[in-house]
Amino acid sequence: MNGADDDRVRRALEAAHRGETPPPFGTLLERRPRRRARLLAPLAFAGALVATLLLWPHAPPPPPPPLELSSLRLPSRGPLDFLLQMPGEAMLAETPRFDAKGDWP
Amino acid sequence: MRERPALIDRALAGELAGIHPASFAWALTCCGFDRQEAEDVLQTAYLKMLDGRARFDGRSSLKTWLFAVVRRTAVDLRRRRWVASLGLERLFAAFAPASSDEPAMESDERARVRAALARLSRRQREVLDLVFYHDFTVEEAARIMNVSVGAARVHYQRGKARLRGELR
Repeated sequence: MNGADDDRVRRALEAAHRGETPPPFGTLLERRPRRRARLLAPLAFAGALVATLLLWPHAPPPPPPPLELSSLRLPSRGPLDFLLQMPGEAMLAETPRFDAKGDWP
Repeated sequence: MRERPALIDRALAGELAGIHPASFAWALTCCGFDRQEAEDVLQTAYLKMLDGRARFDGRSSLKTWLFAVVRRTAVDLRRRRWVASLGLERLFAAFAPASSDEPAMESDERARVRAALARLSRRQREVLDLVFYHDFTVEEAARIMNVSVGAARVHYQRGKARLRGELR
């Protein structure tokens, strides 16, 4: 590293600082810090978001409708149900009628 | 915010005002050339000194002590900002309009050098700025940066070599 390189680094740093005028000393001391408010803004935003989510008025879910007894009855037909069917069931299910002549209908 | 002291050390304030431009330039370096952040850091550093939270012990020059306080304040602010923002601030900054009230050529050159400096490590950037822009010795720079002189020399040499490569 030689003097020319040092000069180059020096010129580069001068270029980096060029055009930056400092705020007046008194003004800087008296002004309100701006950054702190900017720092707090994202925090406040995140806090408000969390609070909103936590305190969101959740309506309780509606209660389930009462079950009808009939809805619990499942139609099913087993393969051996025919064994329970008695012959002449239709005849036994009603009262015998006789016509006027005394014959079976 | 802390209560501003009613009676400040006027002699100290006068001395600080005398080196204010250099202090602001150093604050800019410590804050990655973010002007608003540099102003906040410098204001906080001045208030620390003027209300006695940071005390000058006379073991170095006032400028060396001031630069060390500014650097420490910038590091603290950066740490707090990292915790506080969690990346949200960068998101907001991405949508902020960029200011362009400077001549384009000057702005281009400055932007190129600042981009090159940004690729250096923080300590390399600091030691180069202190030595080449503020004319401190490497020993004084080490005191400001709170590192050993040997470490400062390593940052100085590596920083110079790397900046030379970046600007090629």
